[in-house]
Amino acid sequence: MSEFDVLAQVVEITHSKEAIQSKIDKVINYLKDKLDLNGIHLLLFKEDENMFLINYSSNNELVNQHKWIPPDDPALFDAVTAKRNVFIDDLRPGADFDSELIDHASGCNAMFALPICNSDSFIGVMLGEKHGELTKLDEKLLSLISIEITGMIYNESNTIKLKEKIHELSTSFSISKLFIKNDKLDDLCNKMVEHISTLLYSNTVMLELFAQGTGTTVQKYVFNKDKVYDLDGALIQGIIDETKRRCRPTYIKDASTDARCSGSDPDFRSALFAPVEYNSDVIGIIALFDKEANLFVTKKHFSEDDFNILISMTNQLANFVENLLMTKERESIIKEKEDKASELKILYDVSKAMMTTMKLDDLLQKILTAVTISGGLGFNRAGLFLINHRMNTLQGMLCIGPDTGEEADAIWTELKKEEKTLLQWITPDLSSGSRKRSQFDEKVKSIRIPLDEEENAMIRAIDQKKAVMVTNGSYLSNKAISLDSTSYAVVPLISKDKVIGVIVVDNSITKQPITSDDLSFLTLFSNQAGLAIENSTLYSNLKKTLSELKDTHSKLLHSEKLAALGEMAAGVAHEIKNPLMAIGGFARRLDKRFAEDSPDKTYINIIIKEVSRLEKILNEILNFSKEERENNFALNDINKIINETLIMFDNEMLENNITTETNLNYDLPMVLCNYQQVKQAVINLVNNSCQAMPRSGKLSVTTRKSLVRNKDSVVIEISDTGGGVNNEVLHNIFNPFFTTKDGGTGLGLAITHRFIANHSGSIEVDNKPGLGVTFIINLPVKMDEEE
Amino acid sequence: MSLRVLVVDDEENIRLLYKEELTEEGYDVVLAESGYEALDIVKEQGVDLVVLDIKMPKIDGIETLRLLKDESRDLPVILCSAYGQYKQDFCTWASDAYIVKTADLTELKATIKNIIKEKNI
Ligand SMILES: Nc1ncnc2c1ncn2[C@@H]1O[C@H](COP(=O)(O)OP(=O)(O)OP(=O)(O)O)[C@@H](O)[C@H]1O
Ligand SMILES: [Mg+2]
Ligand SMILES: [Mg+2]
Repeated sequence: MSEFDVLAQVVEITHSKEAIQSKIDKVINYLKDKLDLNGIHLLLFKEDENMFLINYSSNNELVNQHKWIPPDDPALFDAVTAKRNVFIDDLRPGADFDSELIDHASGCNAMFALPICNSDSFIGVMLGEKHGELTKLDEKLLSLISIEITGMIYNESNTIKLKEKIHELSTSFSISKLFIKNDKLDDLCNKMVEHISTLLYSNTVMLELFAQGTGTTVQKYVFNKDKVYDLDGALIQGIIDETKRRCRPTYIKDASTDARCSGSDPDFRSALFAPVEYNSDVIGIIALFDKEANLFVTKKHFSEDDFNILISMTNQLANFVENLLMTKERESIIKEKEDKASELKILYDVSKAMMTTMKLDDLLQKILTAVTISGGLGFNRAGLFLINHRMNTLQGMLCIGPDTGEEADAIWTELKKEEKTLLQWITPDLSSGSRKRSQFDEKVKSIRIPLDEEENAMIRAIDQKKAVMVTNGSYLSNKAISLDSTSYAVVPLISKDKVIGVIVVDNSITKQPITSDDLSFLTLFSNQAGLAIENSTLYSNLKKTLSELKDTHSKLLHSEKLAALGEMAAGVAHEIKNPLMAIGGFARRLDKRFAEDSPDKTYINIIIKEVSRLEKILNEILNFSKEERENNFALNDINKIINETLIMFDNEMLENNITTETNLNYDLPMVLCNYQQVKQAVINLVNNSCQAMPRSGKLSVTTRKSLVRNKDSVVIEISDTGGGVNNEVLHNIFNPFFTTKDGGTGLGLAITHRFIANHSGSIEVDNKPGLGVTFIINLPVKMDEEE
Repeated sequence: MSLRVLVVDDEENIRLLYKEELTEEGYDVVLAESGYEALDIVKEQGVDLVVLDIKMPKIDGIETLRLLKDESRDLPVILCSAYGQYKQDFCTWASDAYIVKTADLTELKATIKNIIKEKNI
């Protein structure tokens, strides 16, 4: 086998994917075989010990013995000092030098010592011995192999370093994350010590926090991997104190030799102490003890790098603590402002409750509850007065508050028990009267103060539009709640720049003075209350208008029903008329058969006369409603009629989800017509459309001018999307009594038709089955003379 | 040959009354108790004039009127109803006359005569 083959084999081994230890083992044993060596060893230099260790050897015993070789061992020759390959053929151990590394008994005569190193660092030495000769080729081969091994080990160490870097990065990343994620110091510190231990391969990490100012320990966080150190011992505590005092990190590389540890027999080998600084005050110390060993580090010493990482870590911690403390500070600032905030909250709660209360009585009750309840503004008593413009007086509306101290105690302890929030207090309907009305309430309700009364605090508050505080019983004519107290305050209730009333408060029971803060808060509150009262008034006006409208609506419907009743009577009359006609008709026939002087003829004539009388009466009934409505012609605005009609149906259309589209021509001429009839005609059509669209739809109403048969006319179009009329019954829809509805009388369209006919108008139907129907009314502006 | 008058009314007594009175006037009176029956008679036998009641079950007089006019545009039809309102309403549109029913048939008889004269039947 050629040297080349040996080299190739070695390269193959070193480049295989095996673990470095087994690769080195394999190379060593391979070389021993191939070069017929007596022994071969790889010694690695341990920086921290400044010694060589036999890490690999063809003689396993040497490895197991964990032998340390000093760098000046004679067997290493220049390999260490000059970083030079050494080959010796005339070896005379014991004579020339003495070394544990060389097996004297074996009687070797050749050896080699090859440094494993590059220009800037020294890793170790490969050492071997042989019986016989090392050829020049062997030497060359070994030199190459040593380079290969150097490369392999460097690669490995680089990989390890890279891994460490990655580890470091990822750990410091997770530590940074800790800072971001945690707002609890405890959590953070506990995790932090653990992470630092992982990051720096440290056996133990301790974080001690001190109280600011006093410097006493508040909290200690410790993470231990396996060995437990005497952290409270004098030595460590001494170093901590020293670090704290100097406010500078302490780096004990080797405790056994460090002066700071001398005489105290340290139980750790290496340690780092870094102060956590905040505002040039040491608020904590991080201490690390003993590094774990790896391939290149045997003794548990921290390096400079470790030291630097730790320092940056403490800076982060300091920042975090700073943030935390600032948050605390902020919190305390917030706490200071909490009163303000709770005022805002009260305002918010109350205005929410107020804005959802539309009944004035309830609203006033809520307002005064908010003013007097302890979770609210907290006055003992409060009264509310509103201006009555009609009477030109200020009128007492409501007063809340106990009459006597005992009552107050009872109420307040009761309130405490219930533990309701302000909102709960003011939200339920308080108008139920479950609470006892106070005497003052009675009194206040009877108060009427002329708006021009002088020397009255309430009137003054109204006139000046601002709060008035009474502290010494001036404004004696005050008739409100302060009959027995000389100290009270009045704030105006303002809505849209107008004073609508006042709130009067006092602390008659507790006798607490009303502060200017109280007053400005009350003013703020009263503005809200003013708005709410205005709202509620508007609402009740709206409701009134609405109910009036509803009234008119139902009256109109009623008049339609009356008309319907008339039609019913007509129907009945009709039914009577037929038999009556038969009776009368045949009576007449009989009459012809009797002789002029026959006494029976008299009877027949009686029948004939009575029948005609009945017929006349019935005809009158049948024509009654018509005649009644034919009067009352006047000039009317058709658009107004349409708008009024649509308003009547507002609610129904809202409920049925019907949208309306009006397209009214406001240049329409006034139409000479019977207002009620035209309106009723439109109502009937809109009513039908609404009934045709029970779930949703669109109603369109259009008015326009038109010329029909050379006469100025107004056209009303009422269109719906209610599916229209079945074509088979279309011709019937104007017939009285024709209906397809349960409970329909079938008179709507008949009436409409007749009313329009009364105006010499016409009504047409544009029916689109499945879609909807359009009714088109044509009304002449003026009726023809002869009609 | 006497003119053929078709009387349409749902009430038997009324039909009988019409029949006697109009026969007396010299007409050949045919009776129908419903619109459909009237239509059949007009189609099958042919008539000169129709006296038509409005309020009838099944199909009413106005609908019958429409069908009759569809069948024979020139056939004179006199609408009769106890219900006066129809007079101002839409019922007159296609009929030749509208008469409010009453025990005294003088008006009806006069109207028939008028129409016959006008239409030159
Ligand atoms: N806009 C419409 N869409 C669909 N069908 C309609 C519409 N208007 C009227 N109709 C049909 O015409 C019929 C007669 O309508 P009319 O208004 O005369 O009587 P009614 O609505 O049934 O009863 P009421 O006497 O209560 O008005 C209705 O039953 C319905 O079948
Ligand atoms: Mg209707
Ligand atoms: Mg009838």
